[in-house]
Amino acid sequence: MIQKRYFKNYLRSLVPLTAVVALVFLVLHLFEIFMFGDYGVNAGYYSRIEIVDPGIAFLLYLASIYALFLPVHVLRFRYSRAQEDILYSLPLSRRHLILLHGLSGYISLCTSYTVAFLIGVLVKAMMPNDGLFFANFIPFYLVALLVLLCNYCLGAALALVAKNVLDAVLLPIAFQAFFFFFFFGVGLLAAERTLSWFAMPLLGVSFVTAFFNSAIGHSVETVVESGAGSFGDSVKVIDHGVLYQGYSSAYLPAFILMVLFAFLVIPCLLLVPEREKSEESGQPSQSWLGLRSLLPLTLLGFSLFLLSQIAKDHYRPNLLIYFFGFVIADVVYFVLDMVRRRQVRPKWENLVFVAISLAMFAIAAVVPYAGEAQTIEMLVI
Amino acid sequence: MLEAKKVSKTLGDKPVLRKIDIAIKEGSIFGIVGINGAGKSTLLRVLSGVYRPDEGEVFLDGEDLFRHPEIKEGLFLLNDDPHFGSRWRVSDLLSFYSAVYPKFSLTVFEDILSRLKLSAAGRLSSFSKGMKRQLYIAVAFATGCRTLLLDEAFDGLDPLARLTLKQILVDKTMNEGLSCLISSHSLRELEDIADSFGILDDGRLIDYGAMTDFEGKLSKFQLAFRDEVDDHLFDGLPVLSLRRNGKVCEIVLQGDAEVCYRRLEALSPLLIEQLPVSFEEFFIAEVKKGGYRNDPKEIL
Repeated sequence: MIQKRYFKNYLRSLVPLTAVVALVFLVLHLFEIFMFGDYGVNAGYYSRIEIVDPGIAFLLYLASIYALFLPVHVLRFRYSRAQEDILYSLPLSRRHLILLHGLSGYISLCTSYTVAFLIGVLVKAMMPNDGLFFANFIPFYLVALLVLLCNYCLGAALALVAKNVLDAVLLPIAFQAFFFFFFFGVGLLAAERTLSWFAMPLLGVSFVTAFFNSAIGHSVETVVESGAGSFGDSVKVIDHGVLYQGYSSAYLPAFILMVLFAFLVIPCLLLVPEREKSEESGQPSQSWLGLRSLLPLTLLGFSLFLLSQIAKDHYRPNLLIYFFGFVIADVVYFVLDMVRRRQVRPKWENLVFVAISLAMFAIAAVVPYAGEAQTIEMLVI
Repeated sequence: MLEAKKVSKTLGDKPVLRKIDIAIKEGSIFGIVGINGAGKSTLLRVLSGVYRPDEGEVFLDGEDLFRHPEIKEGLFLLNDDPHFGSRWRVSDLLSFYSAVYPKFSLTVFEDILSRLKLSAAGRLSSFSKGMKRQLYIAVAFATGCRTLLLDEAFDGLDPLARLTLKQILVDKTMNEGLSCLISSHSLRELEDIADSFGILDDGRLIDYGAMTDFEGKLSKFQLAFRDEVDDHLFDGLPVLSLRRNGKVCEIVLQGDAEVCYRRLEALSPLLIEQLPVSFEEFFIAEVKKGGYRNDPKEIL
């Protein structure tokens, strides 16, 4: 009963935020629709194999990025000792508090998204739209809520791991950046192609939007063959989009990762309320489970990315530029870690990771040309 | 009844509470005092379930506070500086607390405010520190909780508000069986209302008991001598504080008043008069025994 009343009260307190975010989403979504929206079928040879873009990706990306950071706001009481004094002394368990805040945040997110999405669909309906199959906006909307849930859960898991606001804000960025750079580097080194698009969890959004691009925005070919209307036709369109274009399925690994990482929230919800020390809230985290490990991993991921650029640069790479890239990455890492620790003095681990990063540069730049005078020349130039 | 059994808490590397045993009975006002950093606020946080103790347990009406957080319906913590959002209004505060405390009474809230002569409306950020304090105190009583934990209860209150608060506290404890644990540096205020006390020093409860008990533990005298008081005149006596003014001095001694009187008489003063000992003097004497960093003699 208390939980229900608290939930209602907290949800009500999120109304202003929900309204503002809905307005921002709507303005940006309408801007996209009016600037880039073209939902009519154009005749011509090339249009026969093109899919009309129904303009669903931008808003879902926008909301997904917001979903990664919204948990920082709804769980921010965990980062303030004064707020914890108020909330943890209430007749509610910590798990209930986290769950109630989390659920309220998700409802707020969905509401903001729904408002912008529905108005967007209405606007599209009022524009020339013979290229859109409106019935499929419904399944897309339902799947979009699940996509938002996945990103929100990942954001919540990271926000639960964080001990202060800075950690909570940096964690989702570092998490996505690590996957992006690491798989970019690995992919390029292993197969001359980037795997980032497949492995960065946030890009799982593209799997869904590309899939539904085919379902909502008919290909001209299909329109001509069957006309818009039946669900069976739309399935054909989906098959067409996935199998023949291969665009959506390319994002399947990212989508799977996005879904899998969402489940991280479960152990966090089980462990954090029981184990967390509220006296550590707002303090720099000493735990390896968080930015302390994710920052160096992102640095090493970025270094691998630069290494792959040098290794796969078939022209003569300008090593000096790459060297500066490594140095800037090291400095950014060091500064962020210094801010995270709130200490200027470097720790042994900083030096180790910077050394590994620079060693990666040395491997990429010096080893292939070992013994050649041109290495020195390139570095000097 | 709120009870802590062998509660210990370490913050960082520093042990802040060491095996604290404390019980706040129904209809009682328990004053907890200590120098800055003694562990008062930490103790209140542990007792209210904000901090988990590293060792020991906390019970409210016989139920473990951490296993059954729902029993905190009867417990309210008012910390020294509650932090609500800058946009919070009084109405937000009321809806927040009325949502979680089923016995929340708007009538009690308005009654307390009228006794404190405070009209509360608008944003919390527009309130002065003292006004906020009064507002939170009104909320604390309005929650209908049977046990209140008030950290720095009198901090920021004007003398009139202090008096009113004391009257309300006494009234509620005597007539409604409210129990209250107050941490404060305003020892004179505590002396007026508390029926029992505990002195925290370096995380230990170095002394506790009924408020009337402390008077038998030390004695205070005013003495007048024929000549100026010599530095070594009181050597060998259990002096806790000494204030000299030429031939007259005021001395606080540890121990029973009669024994101390006889020992002082042996120094042949022209005049010897016993004075009442205040709780503040008792507190300073107790802390001094524990090795306070400043000399309490100077404070007196």
